[in-house]
Amino acid sequence: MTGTAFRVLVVDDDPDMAAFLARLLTREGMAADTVADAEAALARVAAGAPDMILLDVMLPGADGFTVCERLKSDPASAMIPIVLVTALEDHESRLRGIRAGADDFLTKPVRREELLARVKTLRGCTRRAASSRRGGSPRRSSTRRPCARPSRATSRRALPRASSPSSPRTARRSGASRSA
Amino acid sequence: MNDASYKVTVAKDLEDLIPTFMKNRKKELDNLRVALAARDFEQLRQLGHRMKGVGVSYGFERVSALGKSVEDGARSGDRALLESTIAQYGEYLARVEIAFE
Repeated sequence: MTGTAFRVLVVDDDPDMAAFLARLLTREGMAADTVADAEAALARVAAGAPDMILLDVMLPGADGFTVCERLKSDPASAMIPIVLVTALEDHESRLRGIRAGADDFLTKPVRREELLARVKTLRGCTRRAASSRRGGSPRRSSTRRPCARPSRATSRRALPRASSPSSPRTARRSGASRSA
Repeated sequence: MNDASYKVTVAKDLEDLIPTFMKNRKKELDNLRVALAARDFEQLRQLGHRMKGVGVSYGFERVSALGKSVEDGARSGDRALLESTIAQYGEYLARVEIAFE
């Protein structure tokens, strides 16, 4: 992903869907990176936080809910906006996504207009917050989430698996974020 | 299906993705046939689910509709529905005409 464009990580095991989402984003001047499974998604975020994540729910291995919970429970990635992309339309799945800390949802089949509207809204929120913040490097900080509601998943009481701020994993990810 | 059902209009900015998309649909058809022969309903459900999600996104409404039928057939174990749907999918992929605009 380039250094100046708004960077979106697309997580989807269907290569056609990933290519479709990436194409729409790049047409709008954003930078899109794609990965196909949970492990790769977590590794990519740890290596350098994107500005937003489009996360498919049905992934091989750990599902999107689990990935979302893990990212939101880690202080280094908790503020990255996550849009869950799913064909699951039932209330229970949406509720599970909210509990996992998702900031928004997209339902498959993904409509171009809806995708772009949601992404642009979150991008606008991020940029407004960056411009109003004093000091620091807003583009590279992963601790921003200006428009999203507070995530339940960021509560370590709600999520026992949340890593301790002093754990090696957290320290490593924090370090990666700072150096990005 | 009438002839109009085989005509698809795809956004111009997706044109270069379509050869891979169609290649993957043909692989998908093979996978559906193998899964049906093996009575692997979970595999059929997953394949139908994927068809449902990706079809309309690219402009192929019929792929999504057939995917839903595969998913439903797999969930209910309806082998006749699955056979019919997969046959329709094969015919569709053989006849589909794509225009870009």
